[in-house]
Amino acid sequence: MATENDAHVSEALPWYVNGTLAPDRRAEVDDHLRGCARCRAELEWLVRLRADVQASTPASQGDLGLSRFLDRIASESNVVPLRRPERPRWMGPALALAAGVLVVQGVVIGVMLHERSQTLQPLSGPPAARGTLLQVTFVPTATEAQIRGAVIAAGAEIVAGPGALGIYTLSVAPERLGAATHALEEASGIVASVSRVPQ
Amino acid sequence: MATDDEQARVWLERIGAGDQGAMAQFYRAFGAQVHAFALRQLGNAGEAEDVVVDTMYEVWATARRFAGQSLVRTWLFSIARHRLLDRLRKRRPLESVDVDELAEVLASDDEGGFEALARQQRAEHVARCLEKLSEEHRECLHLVFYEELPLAEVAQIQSCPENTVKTRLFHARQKMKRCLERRLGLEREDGD
Repeated sequence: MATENDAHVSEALPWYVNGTLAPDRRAEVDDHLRGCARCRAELEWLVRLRADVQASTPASQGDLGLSRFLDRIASESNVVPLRRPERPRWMGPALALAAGVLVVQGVVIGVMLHERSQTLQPLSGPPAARGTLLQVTFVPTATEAQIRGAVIAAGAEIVAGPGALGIYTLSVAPERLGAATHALEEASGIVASVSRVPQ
Repeated sequence: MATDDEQARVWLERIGAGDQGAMAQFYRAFGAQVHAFALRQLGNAGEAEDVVVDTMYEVWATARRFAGQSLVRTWLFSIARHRLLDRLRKRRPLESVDVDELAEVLASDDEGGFEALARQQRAEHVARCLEKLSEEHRECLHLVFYEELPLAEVAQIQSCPENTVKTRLFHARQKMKRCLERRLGLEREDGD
């Protein structure tokens, strides 16, 4: 006949079987099992049930909707903000002043260049707008051949980069955005990050 | 290997900032678990995949709202559960065992064929008995014996007290035991 203690132990058995019972409670159950054939039989049945539940779950196959999910968020997101590191408040005005100086310098240089009638192509800078733009960084150990292979596999084209921070700007056809992003992520672990450039 | 909660939190933070790369990594890490969870209830791989997509879309949209007071996995399964409940009315019956495939195995002279058949038939009985359970009981068994979650986490996902989880599991065990004994007992009679 089952005792109250049997019931108390029996309700803990599922978590004894799945390995998540707290150590002190587990020791209590171990102690009880040594002297209770009924609970040992219940334990054996639960071990079998656990195996049955696991065996009855078919392995998930395919990308489980990842490609269409990426296409969905790409088509619904007009702007994907890049992560910006947090800056102290005092840096805001200082940066604004520095930016102002740079703008003035840029205007002066621009005027000088125009007067010299030379067309300079920056090594990395705002790319020509064509297709949808992605900014991609690769891991430091990625070789040029690997980078080239990843870009080709994604059906993309390098339009700028690498910049000072190692960022490449790629252009992809808008309808291929989701698949291209997915392909870059799958690129043998050489892609560090991918994000869309607001246009 | 289970995804570390720390790693999942890093991804969530990046997802909250709109990082699609982090979202893809999160999807790959947890997609199969959510799929198995949904498949258990729906019995249809295509519909289960829809639940994965819907769940992950909610993660994408609400990552910033994750307060960090539970494991990421718990939060994710809670979302999946709500998406799943929305779909349960469209559930289709489980696919039946392929009779021709069974016949082929039975006809085989290979002794291993009979063992494989016995395993397949037991799996079929288990699946049918699981089908007969209520959604809550079936879900409870899945979380405890497939996902192997601790009691507290199961209670959080099912939004109920721990004692309720224990009660559900008690009834689920009893029903599975009676069902399997009946089905396996009938099989033995047929085989006599």
